Amino acid sequence: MKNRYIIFGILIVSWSANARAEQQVEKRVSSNHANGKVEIDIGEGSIQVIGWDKNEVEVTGTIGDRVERLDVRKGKRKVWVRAYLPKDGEAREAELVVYAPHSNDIDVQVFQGPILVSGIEGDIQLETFSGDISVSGPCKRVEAGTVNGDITVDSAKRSAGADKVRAKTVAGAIVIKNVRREVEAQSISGPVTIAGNSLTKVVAKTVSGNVRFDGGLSRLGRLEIDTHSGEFIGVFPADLSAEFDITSYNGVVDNAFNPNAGSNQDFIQGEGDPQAEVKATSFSGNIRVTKQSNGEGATAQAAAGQDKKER
Amino acid sequence: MKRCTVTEAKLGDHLDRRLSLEESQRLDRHLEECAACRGAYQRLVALRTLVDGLATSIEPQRDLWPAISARLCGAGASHSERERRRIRLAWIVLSAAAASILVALGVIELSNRPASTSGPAQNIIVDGSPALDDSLRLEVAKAEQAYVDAAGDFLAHLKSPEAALPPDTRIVLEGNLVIADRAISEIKSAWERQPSEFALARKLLAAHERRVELLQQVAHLSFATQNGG
Amino acid sequence: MHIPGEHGGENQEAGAADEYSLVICAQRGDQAAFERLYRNHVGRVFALCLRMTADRELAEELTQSSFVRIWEQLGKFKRKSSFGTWSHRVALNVVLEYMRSRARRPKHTASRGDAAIQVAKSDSPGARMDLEWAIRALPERARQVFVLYEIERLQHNEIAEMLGIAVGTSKAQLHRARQLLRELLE
Repeated sequence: MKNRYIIFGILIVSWSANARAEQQVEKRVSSNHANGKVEIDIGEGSIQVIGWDKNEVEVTGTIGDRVERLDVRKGKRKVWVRAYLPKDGEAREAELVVYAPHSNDIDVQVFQGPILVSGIEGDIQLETFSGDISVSGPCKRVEAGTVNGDITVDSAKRSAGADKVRAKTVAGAIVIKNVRREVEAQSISGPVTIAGNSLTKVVAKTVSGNVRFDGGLSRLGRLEIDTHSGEFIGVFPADLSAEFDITSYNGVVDNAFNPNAGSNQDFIQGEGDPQAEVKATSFSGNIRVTKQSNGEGATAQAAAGQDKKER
Repeated sequence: MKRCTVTEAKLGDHLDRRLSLEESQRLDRHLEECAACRGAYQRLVALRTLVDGLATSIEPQRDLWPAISARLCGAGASHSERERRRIRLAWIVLSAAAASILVALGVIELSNRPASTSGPAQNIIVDGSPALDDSLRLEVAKAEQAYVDAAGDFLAHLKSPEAALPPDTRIVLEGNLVIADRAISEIKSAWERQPSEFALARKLLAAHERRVELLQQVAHLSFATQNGG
Repeated sequence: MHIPGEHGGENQEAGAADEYSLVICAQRGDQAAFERLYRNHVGRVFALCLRMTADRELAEELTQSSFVRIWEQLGKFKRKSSFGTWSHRVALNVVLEYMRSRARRPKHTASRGDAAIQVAKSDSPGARMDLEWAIRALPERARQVFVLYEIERLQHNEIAEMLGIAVGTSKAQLHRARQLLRELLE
């Protein structure tokens, strides 16, 4: 994990070095609302948002020499940070670190460049055309979208974790960990790795990307995986109680809960009246379901970094 | 009370951060000492705060659209009739796609029900009636066409210069479209080989959906991130 | 993503995807789509016109002209800024053109000086309403500069160019506007 942030930091630094950023900026506005929102919009560059205890928003960093101005404005419940277009309509470059009240909501849009958010407890919405997105900390809800970049969401382990995470990328890897309730992940060719316990809803859809789920579902939880040629690996608690419906038309299904049962399996696992559902379909990808070894469930994230390396 | 006329004129510049660092520091020191200037400056700050809190939007008291609409009839010569006919709003098409797909999925759902829970219609399905198979295929074909139309509109936009896709993103998009297209074609062939396997029809529509969602996402990000949403 | 007034305020947070679709559609001649864009942005355009002219009827007229101009120029909109920003700039040009043309003709309205200021002082229900009234009560040039600088966030050199005045005059008018507003609001 630590390594990933170091790499991310290097990315931001190298991005900064390549940009034509010239002007140093430092702006600060007070935030009237502890539950307010900070909206950030730049063109090319990088954004790092860090939650802090102060009730104010501070913006530091550099902006490109062709940027007309960087506006930091305060509204009733929002603070806006925006790099303004120069008159010739060229790209807006900015490399910014934004400190925001940790209880605020955050909304960031970057055309090209990475976004890193940490220590924010509110709702987080992040969009970049081309660049990695990373969220860490005890956020409430996360929505992240990129075309060409990885998405990593890791709620703080000590807190309850995010309620809901939605992540969409086209070609990047998605890694989501420590979420409390719902995860939706979508990719075309990138791998998806989800880890968490007692989740109520997990949906992952890819075309050629592999999917790995490592963790448990709540009693009424539902896991739904859909791939075309991507492989699905599910690692569940050995005492899992759920209704399985898994099919691979042209791939191999290997299910530790139901060995040697073919590539189309519809059965109930566990005692009593299980209401959790595990549904996985693939056209040509293999489906492999295994049982966690002792103690594996709580630290199911080990595989997360692995998948990224496999890309 | 002493009136500091020299600095009075500069208070506004100070507020607007137009003073040099040195001038600014000098004025800050002065403000600490001079109550009159401090008061005047605080009023300026208060005014700025009030301005920041002004409504950004004021609705006119009457609806101006009818008058504007009437004037538009005489304007707008720049929009060609050909283009107008060609226009198919992506979200309208998507709504149509959603409707067709719901119908198709409904038919597939029916076709998957076991005979034991059957009513008359389901009996027909389980019996493998050619009429119902045809109807299913027709619904799936309609849903597919709706997806293809929606994708076409997004593609047309994304290929236009105004979408301004960065070259690396364009390459990623094209590469992933190939993957999505291949998936559709593979499932289609499989369904042709096993026409009674209705689940493949569902898979086919899901693959189309992935393809449209891919294009929709790229189009959305192209708009949102380049234009401040 | 919204900046103040970007989409006519916080209550009109039309989704970017919707707006994207609407703009494309309107560019190709769809009036229904353009009406939706109008509904999303009319508040911000009208606010600009009203503050610049301090005349409700005239503001309505200029708002109409602005949207006709926006429609005519939609083909030139290359989406390098948001539609809100672009349409606002078109509206600003319409207002300024009107101001310049009027400057060459005898003025049809009396200068709104002291009488309006009295209204502002006595009729104000709250601080922000006070400010709206006070801005409208400012002398014309001071009001225009104040609105362009403080609300539209333009720089003095831009304002000077738009209004055909010297940069120094723009600064002086801003200073005057602030002084008057402080007096009005005290």
